[in-house]
Amino acid sequence: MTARHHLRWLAGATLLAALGCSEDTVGLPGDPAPIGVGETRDVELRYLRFDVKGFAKTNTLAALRAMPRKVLQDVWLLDLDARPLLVNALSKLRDMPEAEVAALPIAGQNMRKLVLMTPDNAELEGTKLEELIAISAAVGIPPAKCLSDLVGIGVTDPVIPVEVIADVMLQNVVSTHPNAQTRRGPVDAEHPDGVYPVAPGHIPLTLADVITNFEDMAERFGPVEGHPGFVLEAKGISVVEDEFSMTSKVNANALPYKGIDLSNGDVASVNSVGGQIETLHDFSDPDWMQITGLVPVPKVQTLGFGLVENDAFVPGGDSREPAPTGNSPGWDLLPWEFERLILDMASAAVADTPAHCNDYELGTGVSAFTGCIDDDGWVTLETFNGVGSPPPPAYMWDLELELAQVRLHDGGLAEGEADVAMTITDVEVGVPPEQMIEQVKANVQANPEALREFASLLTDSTVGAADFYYVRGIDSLPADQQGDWLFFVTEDDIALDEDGNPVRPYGYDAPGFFADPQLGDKRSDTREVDGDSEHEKIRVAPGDVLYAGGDDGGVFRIDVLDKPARSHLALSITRVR
Amino acid sequence: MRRALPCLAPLCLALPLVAAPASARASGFDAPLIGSGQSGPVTDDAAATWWNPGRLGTLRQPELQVGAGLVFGAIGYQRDLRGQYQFSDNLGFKTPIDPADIDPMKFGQQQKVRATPVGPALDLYAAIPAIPDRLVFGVGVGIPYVALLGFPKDGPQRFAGQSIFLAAPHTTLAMAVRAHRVISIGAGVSYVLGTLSLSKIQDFGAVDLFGDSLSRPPIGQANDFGANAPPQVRELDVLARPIEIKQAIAHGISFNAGIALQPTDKLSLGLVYHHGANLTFHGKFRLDMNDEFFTQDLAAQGLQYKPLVTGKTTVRLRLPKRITLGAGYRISKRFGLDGFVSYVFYQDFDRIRIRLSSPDLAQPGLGLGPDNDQNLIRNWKGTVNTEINGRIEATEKLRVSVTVGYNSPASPDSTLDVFSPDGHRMIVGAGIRHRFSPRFALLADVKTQFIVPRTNTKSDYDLGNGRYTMFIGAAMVHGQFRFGTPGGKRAKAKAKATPSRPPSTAPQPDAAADDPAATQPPASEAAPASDAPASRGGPGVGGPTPPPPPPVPEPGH
Repeated sequence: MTARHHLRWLAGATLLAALGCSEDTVGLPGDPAPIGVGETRDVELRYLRFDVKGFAKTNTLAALRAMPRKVLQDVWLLDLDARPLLVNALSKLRDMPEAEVAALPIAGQNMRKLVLMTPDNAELEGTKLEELIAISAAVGIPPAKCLSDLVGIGVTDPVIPVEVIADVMLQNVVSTHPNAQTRRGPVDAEHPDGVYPVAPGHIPLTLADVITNFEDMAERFGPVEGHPGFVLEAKGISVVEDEFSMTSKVNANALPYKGIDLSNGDVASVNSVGGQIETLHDFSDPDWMQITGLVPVPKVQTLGFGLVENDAFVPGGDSREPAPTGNSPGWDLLPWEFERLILDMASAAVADTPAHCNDYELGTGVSAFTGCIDDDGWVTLETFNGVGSPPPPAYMWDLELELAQVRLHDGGLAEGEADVAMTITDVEVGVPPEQMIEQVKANVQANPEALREFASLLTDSTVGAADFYYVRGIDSLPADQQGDWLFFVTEDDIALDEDGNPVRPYGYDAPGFFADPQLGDKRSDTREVDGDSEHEKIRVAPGDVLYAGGDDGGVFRIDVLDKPARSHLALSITRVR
Repeated sequence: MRRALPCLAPLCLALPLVAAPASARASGFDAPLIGSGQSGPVTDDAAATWWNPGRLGTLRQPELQVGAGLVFGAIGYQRDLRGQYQFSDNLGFKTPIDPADIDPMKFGQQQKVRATPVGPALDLYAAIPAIPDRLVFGVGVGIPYVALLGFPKDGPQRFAGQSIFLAAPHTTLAMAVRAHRVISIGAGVSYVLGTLSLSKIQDFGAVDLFGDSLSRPPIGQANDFGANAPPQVRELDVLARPIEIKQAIAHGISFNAGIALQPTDKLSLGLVYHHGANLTFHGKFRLDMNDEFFTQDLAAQGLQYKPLVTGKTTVRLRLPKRITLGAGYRISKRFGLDGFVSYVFYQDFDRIRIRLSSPDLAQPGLGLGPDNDQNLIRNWKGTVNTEINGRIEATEKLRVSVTVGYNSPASPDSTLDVFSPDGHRMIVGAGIRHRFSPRFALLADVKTQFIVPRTNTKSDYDLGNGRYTMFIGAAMVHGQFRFGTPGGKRAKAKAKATPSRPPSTAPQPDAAADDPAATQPPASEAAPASDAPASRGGPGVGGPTPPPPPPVPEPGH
């Protein structure tokens, strides 16, 4: 014994009364055991509200990353417009330093030439337009002038502007990608399968994408289900900084409901936030959600993208029919194949070109060559007085399709070997963070239900395996909603594990409350009480007798006992089978 | 269920201890009996070691005084709720509370509660003259401060307290020097071994730290919780957490000093100073947080205690200083009076500083560390304590004494509560002393205190409004033993040389009369008879020493 212990003993012995005063007033409950058939157990439930207002819940990057990825993937934030990303990527390709160009594969270099192609640098050799070179020489004008006049652009203007390329790629490649067409969302009446459409040309962005800096971008938007994908590689994507945080203010009862696990009569907790999702946020408060830590200029450090070509040479059409495209077999190709893209790009590029004709004369004043394009993009080249052999009439895209294919295979590439794969660096996503934040807020405000699981996860207060729980209809509710209610749990009430999966199956054969032990005479319904119209519920009073089934297949009798206090409910639980 | 606790001493006053501000109370916790019922600042007995060490200087014979007895009491309280309260199973934390949540039944007088403590009482004092008529040592163990109460755990007083045991026994070593036949001075040093146990329901709604933690991020809810919480947000079931502090021990040092004057043989005066002591109790606490509100419901927000939080606690308080002026006067041969007036600096007891320390108290998410400091505001007032004791020598061997007194209250209305059933305290006592021989006397005393029933309507935050009653009694028997020869061998030799006088037939008023040599100098040195001291209680409950002094009894007489 230490000296200190001696002193304590001395004090205790000397002061005899202290011995009489000693009595434990603090104790702990034991673990409940399963309820056997015929066994009865009394349980008291409490309904306690901790009504927080403007409760600011801040989630740091680390906290968010610790959440189940599955849940985060279900938190849709916005459909990100991919056009700026594509435009920026193509512009980067166009403006690439020559040293970097040399490092590109030949197909990539050829693709870049197409992006850069202007009437002035167009290499018409080996195509139907090659004859223009001779004709131009005959009439004493540069071929570039002739070509630019034909498509109605300057000689140094791109034949197919980057913006047009991007738009067509959005339409033909991005929008057709399976993962850019739909996204997951909450199941409701309008979306019974939980699948929601994505705006064309957009990429659905989830909270998981943001907090992981889109680490699986290439996986999601690469080749999938026969689609070649449009992102082959994506590294170093910076969307959020380490200081990223997402704060939302909520008005809610922050405490879980208290319910009963029928199997053992234990009091369990059921997260209440999901049931309050409609009123969770005060959208009249402009600061109801704050997102900080988005990088000022979201970028992709390394972005690889590509195009696939058809294995065969695809000829341009030679007929106006079928209108309005003509008869090139390229129109029958998959929309993301190179040849089809060229057709669409060229078509889009000349869509706004007005019908016109350019007449070129010899030095004698005699008309030697006329080039016309009509409102449909049909090109007619005529020569007179034996000046050359112009190509036959065709749509402009038919001519450009041939030109593009030939140029793509420059350098000796055979057909089918010119799939384009390029990597460019430091591509800006093109959507400023402020715009992203506003879109996120608008989307969540329009559909707060999407946050149900996420919000529930934030409070993470479901404990145990309640089969039903107690709600007191408070005095401020309509009279028919006041009183003591028992709510039977739904699937949404099941807690999630670390991977975002339910910790237990929703194994109820007959959810709800019944008047008979056979569970055939249901007495509960889903009427609205305190904003809830999803749960089976029933108002109870002392003396009521109900039956309910547990998730273990057992059936239990529930006797409602006298109320111990205003917000307490006493029940007697008996397992009947 | 009411539970009576054994009581070591009757004055069941309390120390309010808990991790909550301003909820538990106490009042002056003087023990009613120190030494015999006739001991006092002008009494010549061994208990002068505590009462007035200067008085030890008058003792001429070794003396041992041992006492035992019982203390008992009956403390009643009927709480009167004068504020508005929400239903206790509600959790509104910011006023105004929805009128629908106000409990209309929680108002007015509540169930009466009563504590009836009974317990043993012990003390022991000894005086040893080292140099005859010059230097006397005293030693003793007594319990001048004690509080013991046990109320129903679930009574309406539970937020103020359920049970408390506080005792501060003093072991005192004193020394007195008789500077002159008229004056003696003395001083003592006391080792104070304090012990403290208590239990109560801690209202977290009245805890500043709790309110602050809710108001700060991450929860960030403006609330009215804290020390100044209005009744509307107090005494909610979910925030009512049982706490115990068990057998906390404190060590302290105190001292006293006194002057004893004997200006005439009929008049005795004494002036005493007690310094009190700073006590820091070290013990353990158990805090029951076993409510899912605290253990799991808000875990994601950073609030998650273990169901049972245990740890170390320190409680700092100060035993008060006091100044006492005593006087005794021998009115006649058979009748004498003495008494005292004390001013007790209970304002020293302005607050109790409590620290609960446990890793399990830390709530990092809420900015709460492992230490929880609380100041319990007491704001006690200095009290005036006075007693008058009258003695009648009924026979030669039997003395009867009667005591009346008054203590002013220490607790103001604002902090009065069930652990401080304080008020205008009336004191009534009676005692006898029978001297079986010059060496042994038996003293039996009964002393009671009661307060004028006190109805409080001005309690801070409605914590302690209601009606208080208090009765405390002590019944003790003391044996008084004297050894050796009064004044030592020299005095004995002188006494033998002095012709004996015939025995007096008159009853002697005090021990000095029985054995004047025990408290008076030898005749050759004695002051004139008119200067003989009039002392209260003790070996001599102060009757006048009749001149000439009676013959010195033979040892063993």
